[in-house]
Amino acid sequence: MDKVIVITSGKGGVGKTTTTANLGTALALLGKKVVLVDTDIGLRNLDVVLGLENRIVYDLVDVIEGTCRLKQALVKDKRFEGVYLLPAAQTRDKTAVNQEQMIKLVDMLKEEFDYILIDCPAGIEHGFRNAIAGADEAIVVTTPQIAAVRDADRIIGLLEANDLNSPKLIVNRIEPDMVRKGDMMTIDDIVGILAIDLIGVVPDDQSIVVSTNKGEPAVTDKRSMAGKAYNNIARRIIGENVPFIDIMAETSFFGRLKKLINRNND
Amino acid sequence: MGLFNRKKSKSKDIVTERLVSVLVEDRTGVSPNTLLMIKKEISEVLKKYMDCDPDDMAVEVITRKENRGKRSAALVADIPIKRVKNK
Amino acid sequence: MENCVIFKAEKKIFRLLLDESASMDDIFSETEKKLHKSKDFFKGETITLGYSGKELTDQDKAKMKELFESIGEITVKEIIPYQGQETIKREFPSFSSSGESSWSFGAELGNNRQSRRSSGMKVNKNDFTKFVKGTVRSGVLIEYDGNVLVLGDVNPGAEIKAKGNIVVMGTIKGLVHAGTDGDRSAYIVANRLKPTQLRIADLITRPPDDSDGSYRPSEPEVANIEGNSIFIDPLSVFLNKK
Repeated sequence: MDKVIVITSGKGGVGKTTTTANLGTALALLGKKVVLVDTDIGLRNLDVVLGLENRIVYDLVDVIEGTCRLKQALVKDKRFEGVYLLPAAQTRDKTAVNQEQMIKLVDMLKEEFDYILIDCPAGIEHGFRNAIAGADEAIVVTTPQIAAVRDADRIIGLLEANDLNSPKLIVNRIEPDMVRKGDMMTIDDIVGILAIDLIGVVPDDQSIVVSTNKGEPAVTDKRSMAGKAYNNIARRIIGENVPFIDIMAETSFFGRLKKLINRNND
Repeated sequence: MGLFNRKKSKSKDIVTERLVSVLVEDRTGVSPNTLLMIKKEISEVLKKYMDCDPDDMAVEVITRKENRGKRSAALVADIPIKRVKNK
Repeated sequence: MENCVIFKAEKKIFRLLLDESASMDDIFSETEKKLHKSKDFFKGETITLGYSGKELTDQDKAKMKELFESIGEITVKEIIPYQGQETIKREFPSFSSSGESSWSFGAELGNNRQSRRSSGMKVNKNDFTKFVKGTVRSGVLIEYDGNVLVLGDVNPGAEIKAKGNIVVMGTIKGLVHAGTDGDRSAYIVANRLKPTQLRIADLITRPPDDSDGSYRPSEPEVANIEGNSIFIDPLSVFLNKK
């Protein structure tokens, strides 16, 4: 994929920020220099998900208003080589930034970084338009819920209207057990409806809650299924051909046992 | 045990169907009601030429990908023909 | 006429310092302007107005009461002449918060300041304190050219910036910056310090990464600069410093 990628969803709470944090860290672990830009002015979150909240001195609005230089506002993640955060302002209004300023900002970042991941606010208003202004490509995050998929569809339409064609889809928080029971839409259902390319499927994983509590991205946890999924997406972003993990494959011993018993009973 | 379950549709089928109908309206502004009317009128027109049962007809709006990755909407009608009328 | 009226809130009385040389029309229009500016601040309060510097006729008083009640939505209990001697001088320092309102509070009573000013001393920014009642929540920025006193907590995502000192009668969990114009003698006091970040003048500090926040001090803590670093002292230790 191109270097400036906006991560968006329409609906809030589907995991945009977690996705941004994990993809950014995963790309850095692949040797890329990455900056994560939080454009949710007034409701910033990427800093706490990354565990960098207490290192912020300047923010995106300070850079745009010329209060500081770009380099002063970038927060370096000391734990991972190559991860930088450009935080949003928390005590300002979304209107403090406009689209031209965002494009200029992204242009400056392009000189320094291999990848620029832009974490987009929920909604389709001012903040969304700012976030997509400087982007070359888009990743749409959704979950297997009707409201999330509907909003994703709207977002895809808006992205296309802004010449961000062929966005890539991440289906987050899929629960294989529920899919198996027929109580959750399948990946094929969702991809079929949204009609865009899939770049990754992330299983619902409690380890995400734990890693977010600690402020450590899940990609660094080798046992985390979600972390593994994010690592795979990062590799697809840099152009590697990574086969999709069969999320429906039974992983637990009890699950396999149940299947075996059911088969014998048939 | 599967005997009783099989009758009920799975909740994911219900949600997929609901989602598709909501999205058709979101994308094109064509409501399920309008689709019903289109269906009726098509069958009226067809009556002159062939026999077909409006209940068997499926008229829906689908989304498909174009070459350059952009999506577009299309009206698709599936109309089983019973008998072509001879003039 | 700018500043022909100055508002001051004191313990029991809301003071109007009037410029003797100004016309009543000027005074009314300036009052109106200031009320508009700081509208939401005292909304719903009941106050006594104490005026000084110029005599008001009964008609003037009625008009003044009307302005406060209609624009400021403040109930005026009575309007009385204020006994103090303080009057407006042209060189009165204009302290205004760069934030939403321009109300100034006299932290000490007028006489003290009056004498210092007349002896040619500069008015200290520490003479002005902004009071904030209640918890300051995420997304709120309080910026003031004097001291800030918060009766409540400062939550993560909230910011307090003061040119003077900051006192929080609660827990600091957000970001506070004292001495914003470079005053290294400024300090930050709180019942409990669990900040995202503390800043005094040009120095920035944050809690160590391994702190679990379970430490509960038995007395208020004071963040202050010693040498070239920010230190946290118990209040009693801070008071005995130097």
